[in-house]
Amino acid sequence: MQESRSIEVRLPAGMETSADDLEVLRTTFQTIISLTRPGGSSPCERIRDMREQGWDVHWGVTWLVTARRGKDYEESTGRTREEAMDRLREATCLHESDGCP
Amino acid sequence: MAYSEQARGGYRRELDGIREAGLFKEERYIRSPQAASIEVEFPAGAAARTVINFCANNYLGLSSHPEVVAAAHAGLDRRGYGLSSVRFICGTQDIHRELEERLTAFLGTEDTLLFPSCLDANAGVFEALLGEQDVMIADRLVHASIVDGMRLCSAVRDTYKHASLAHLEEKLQEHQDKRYRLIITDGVFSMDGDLAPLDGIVELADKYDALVFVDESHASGFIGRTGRGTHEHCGVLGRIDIITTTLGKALGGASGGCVSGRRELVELCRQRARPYLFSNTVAPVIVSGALKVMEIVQASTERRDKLEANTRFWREGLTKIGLDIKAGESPIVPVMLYNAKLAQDVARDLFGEGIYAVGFFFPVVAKGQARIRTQLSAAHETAHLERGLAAFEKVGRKYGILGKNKDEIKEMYGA
Repeated sequence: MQESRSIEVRLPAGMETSADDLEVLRTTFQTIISLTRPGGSSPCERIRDMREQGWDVHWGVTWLVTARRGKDYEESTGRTREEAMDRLREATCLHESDGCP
Repeated sequence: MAYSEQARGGYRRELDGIREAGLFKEERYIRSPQAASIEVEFPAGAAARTVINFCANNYLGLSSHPEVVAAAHAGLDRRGYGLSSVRFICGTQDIHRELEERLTAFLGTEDTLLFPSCLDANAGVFEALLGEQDVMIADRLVHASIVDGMRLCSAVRDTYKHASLAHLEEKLQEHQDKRYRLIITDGVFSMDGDLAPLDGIVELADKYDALVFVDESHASGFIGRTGRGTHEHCGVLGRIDIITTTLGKALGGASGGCVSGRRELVELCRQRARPYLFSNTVAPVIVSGALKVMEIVQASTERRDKLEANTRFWREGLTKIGLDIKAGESPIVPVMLYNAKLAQDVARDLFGEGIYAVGFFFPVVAKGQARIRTQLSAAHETAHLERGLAAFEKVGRKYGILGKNKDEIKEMYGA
């Protein structure tokens, strides 16, 4: 089994990056790598199998946002970060209280 | 996988965490039938003592009504103990359909489908009726089972601020691109005992082409002039598309629930709702008892009227002795204490005075909203209520909260 490798990208001196910026960079490179792998830009075998079983499969790059508070957990996806955040906010609103029996 | 010491330790730590957070729930053993006055063994192993019950959902006092018990016995004799089947294989007796028809007539809908509980009804109904092109817009304080049901459904989930028609309207405008919009609310909210503004909700539903769902668990049997529910109280009988409710509260208090509403929607639940399809039928003994309950409830409003009178007496009494209660008209009467420890201490002292009422605090209610939730019953007699008020006055005086408002209580005890 081939060992996985990582690449290091040097950022210009003095460039200020937030944790969000770094996450965007990491995801962007990961996307490029996924798409340039053999079969990366076309349906792989697994997707073909699912389609044969009647699944209508689409794939794409999307935003994933999560929120955790104690045992409560919510995650949402969206085509934009704002869309994902909006959905996450909607989902967390349902945790306003546990409710009485 | 073996239940390893590591797993056991992990679960023990989780339980310890619940205890440390003051959220550990302990059962109290009741050694009598459900009633206004019950025999309770608490703590476990202690001698049972008689206390007045102010925390049951036994709104109409039918849980141990002799006619209901007799009907259940007769049903047991005639139709047996269990059916060993789900409804659609060999678990439907004539009495199941009879009860569904009685509920349909009572709720003023087109059809009804029984579920093992209202929690099951709420868990199954949304997934059966909606898909990813639809949206569910729920009041933010709906019952936990509705939240769980919404999670199981692929439709878009959204919420509106509690009882805010203005915010609901915004949300309905925002979701005009969806195929179906479903407004979701409780009829009576279990935490505060307040009623949903169903007349306004139905108007908005008409304006923005939306369906309306109401959970009537804390309303069926006693809210409205003839006890049909919040929709009767708000003058919108026949205009609610989906009602879920329970047989486990006012309507006999045993178990079982239902989805009632538009014929096609109920039929789709019969075809698709997973808790209905994959869970055992409601036992014949429950169905037989519930049929008698429906007969009693539809024959007279006497019990519902008594509950209303008891509620008025109780609310006026608590206010007169200077306790801070949530205003309203439902038999759910929260005595506001705001501080979680105070709520627990007051509940414990009330129990010492022979009054059984429970303290609720975060996460069951929002932070800083701790309270004792009292619930009235048609089974309560004036003497029960007077004794309850005397106990609240004595305990309230001990903690110095009589005549104090929210800010003053918070200043004394913190939130």
